[in-house]
Amino acid sequence: MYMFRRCDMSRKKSFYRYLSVLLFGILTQATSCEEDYPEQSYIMSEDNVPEEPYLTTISTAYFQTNIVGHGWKWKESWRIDEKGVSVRYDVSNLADYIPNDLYFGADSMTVFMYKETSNERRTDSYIYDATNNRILSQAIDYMQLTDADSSCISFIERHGDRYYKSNYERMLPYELNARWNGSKPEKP
Amino acid sequence: MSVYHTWGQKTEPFVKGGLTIGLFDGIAASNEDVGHIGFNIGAGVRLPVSKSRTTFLEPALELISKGNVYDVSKSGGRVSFSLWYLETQLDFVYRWQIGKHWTIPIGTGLYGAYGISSKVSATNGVTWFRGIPVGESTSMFDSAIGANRWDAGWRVWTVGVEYRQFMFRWDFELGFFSQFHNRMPYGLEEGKKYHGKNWATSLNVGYCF
Repeated sequence: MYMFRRCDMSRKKSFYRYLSVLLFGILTQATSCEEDYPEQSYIMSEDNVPEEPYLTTISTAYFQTNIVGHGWKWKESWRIDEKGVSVRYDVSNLADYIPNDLYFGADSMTVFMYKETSNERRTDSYIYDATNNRILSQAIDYMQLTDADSSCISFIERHGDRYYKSNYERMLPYELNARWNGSKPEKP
Repeated sequence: MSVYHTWGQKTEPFVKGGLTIGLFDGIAASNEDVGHIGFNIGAGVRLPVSKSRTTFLEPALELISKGNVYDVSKSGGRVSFSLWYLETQLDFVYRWQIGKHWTIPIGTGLYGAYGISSKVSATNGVTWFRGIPVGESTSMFDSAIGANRWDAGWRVWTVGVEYRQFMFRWDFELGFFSQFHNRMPYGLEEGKKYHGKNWATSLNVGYCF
């Protein structure tokens, strides 16, 4: 009898442990920017630029309300090959590029770059073109906003001669302060 | 006006018309769906299939508008897909006599439709919607969108009430086929693909001769 009870208790414990792990998993999944975009195919333009197949206009008003004034930390990327097929970018293999974090001000944007010797930031003016969700700036090579909400944004961006689809998560104010304080303006 | 078909039963022609609310792939597909409000007008014939005059076949020809309207908050506007079809319907209807002049019809059937006109348009400033160029008012049958001209589906129900010669009907139709060849109005959401099948519900008033 005692043995059976112990067994039941142990089962209960493992059930609650399983439940808590499950709940934690659901909660973290619901609040993270990850896994929102499965690997997919992109349409390649005549200039060999990948185009988001399900592009929806994000208005300037929405951009200014939800994106401007916040810092955005890199979460994950997919590398888009010449045929337009995306493959998840392995963060541990930083041979291609080291991911950046971003800040959008009213008229200027800042790219926080993590280099081997120091953390640097590049700030330049930008224009948001809502006709094709493009961000035009000297601070970056190519950037097209493909999706956004109040906590996550996604871009197709170019680093060197390769294109990536990247997700960014909105920073908390202290995280943004840490980026400002922990980086120096890029040397020309 | 009544005519008699070959096995001696009286057949009754009718005309009908009313409002149609259209959606692509159902309300659950996206919280951006607003629904397309359109119209329908048509004519048909009530063909008895039993001597008791309780079951009927109702073939009809109808001009009907379907589609969907999306409220795209991120874009700051609305996108409207509007299609006009010439539609043939074949309903099997049971008519339940509840009074001297009152009848409740309950039926189901099939439809086939051919698209005769279509248009996609958006409020100013909205240029793209789920990969579909919507910046300029354009036909959905062109190559960029590639909407299907042909459609067919299940007339899930036609129910209502009839008083003397007057018919009041509520119909609901589900399309079998995607309306989009090249691009779909829904993208990949949580790994699911949506197909843009026509859903339509109509409220009609008719008169039986």
